[in-house]
Amino acid sequence: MATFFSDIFGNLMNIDLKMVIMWLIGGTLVYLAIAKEMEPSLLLPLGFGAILVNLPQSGVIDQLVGGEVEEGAFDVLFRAGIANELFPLILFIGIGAMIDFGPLLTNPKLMLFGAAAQFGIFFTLSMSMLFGFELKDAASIGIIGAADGPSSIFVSQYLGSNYTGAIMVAAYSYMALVPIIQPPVIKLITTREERLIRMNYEPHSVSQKTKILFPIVITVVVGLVAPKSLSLIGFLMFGNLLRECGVLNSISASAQNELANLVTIFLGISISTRMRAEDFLKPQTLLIMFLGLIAFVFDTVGGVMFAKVINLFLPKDKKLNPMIGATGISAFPMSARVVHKMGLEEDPQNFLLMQTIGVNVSGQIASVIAAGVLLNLVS
Amino acid sequence: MTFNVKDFVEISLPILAKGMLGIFFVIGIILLCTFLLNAVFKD
Repeated sequence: MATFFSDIFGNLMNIDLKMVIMWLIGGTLVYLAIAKEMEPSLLLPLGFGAILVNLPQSGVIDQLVGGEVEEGAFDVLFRAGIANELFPLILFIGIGAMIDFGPLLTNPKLMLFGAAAQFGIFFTLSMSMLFGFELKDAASIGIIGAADGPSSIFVSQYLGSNYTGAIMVAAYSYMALVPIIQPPVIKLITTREERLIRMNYEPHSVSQKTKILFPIVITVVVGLVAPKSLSLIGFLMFGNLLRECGVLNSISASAQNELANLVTIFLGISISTRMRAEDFLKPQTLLIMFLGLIAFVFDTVGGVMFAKVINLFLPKDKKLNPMIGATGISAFPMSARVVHKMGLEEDPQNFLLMQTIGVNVSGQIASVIAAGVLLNLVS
Repeated sequence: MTFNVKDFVEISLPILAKGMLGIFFVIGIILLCTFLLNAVFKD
């Protein structure tokens, strides 16, 4: 009888407090995904996966049985798609197919705001080094400021960071919290007069040839100038070419839906292998969550301050509303909507949506380039 | 927790400066290419 109970319930004795804490963390992520709709496509598999990998003798991760390694499905997926950076790259095909570069091509100057809003990445890298992280980990923490999950996974895996799990949780949580993080920061560094500035929108059409050539030209140019960005920008622009070429509509739709959805599922559960209690429950995890917030705050500061500097050189009737600078991050279209709404709250007749969408799209390109530049400098 | 001021000053600040310059440089080239595409292929 005793043997029967130990056979059936023996594994219960392997439960420890750290595992229980991880179940609570996993449960919290699942709750935030479902109840608060915070990046549910990633936080739900990540949270559920965190519970699975922290069950005693979990069969989904590699276990040492009788001196031999018994492979777990999650670890197999991790090695197949994350360790070699394949899943984030494939996801970029789907993301590229979703992006309409039209608003950006209409007003290309907006790209400069996308560049400025990457300031948070490099500022956070510096702060992380100040707090004692190694360069490879500091760069991986800094890339949270790309506000772009696949780039964060790509960089942290490329550099072999020890904190991929915490970085993912921070990146996706703060992306969902953009409507809470950005408004107070913007209000703090702008005056009401600046927030009331109206900007004229002069729409003009962009030819189909330009839309088709744009992803090809950008890939070649970026590949020549920043070769480490090439896989990131190349997959992103390949997806966009599928969208714009006009002859692969069903493949473009598949990339936007089925491909992106499937890879997102695998991405979430694979990353959860890095949420084992022994890897995740460290004081550094809390520090990474704090530094992730710093990254988003200083992205916003970088974009807004750049617009304010540009305004110093513009005539009075051509001034920019500096709030649009904050949308130069990759969190699309959330950031654009947040700033558009802020403009309407200050003045119900101030419509900034077209400008903010253009800047927000530029942030998607700039964040990928920032990841490449970072890899060039660090690796 | 230890504060690593030496690495902050000697390693990360130069990366910050080079990184931002690098992004503006690449985006600047993309900007020029986009202006060119828009000018050549007008609707």
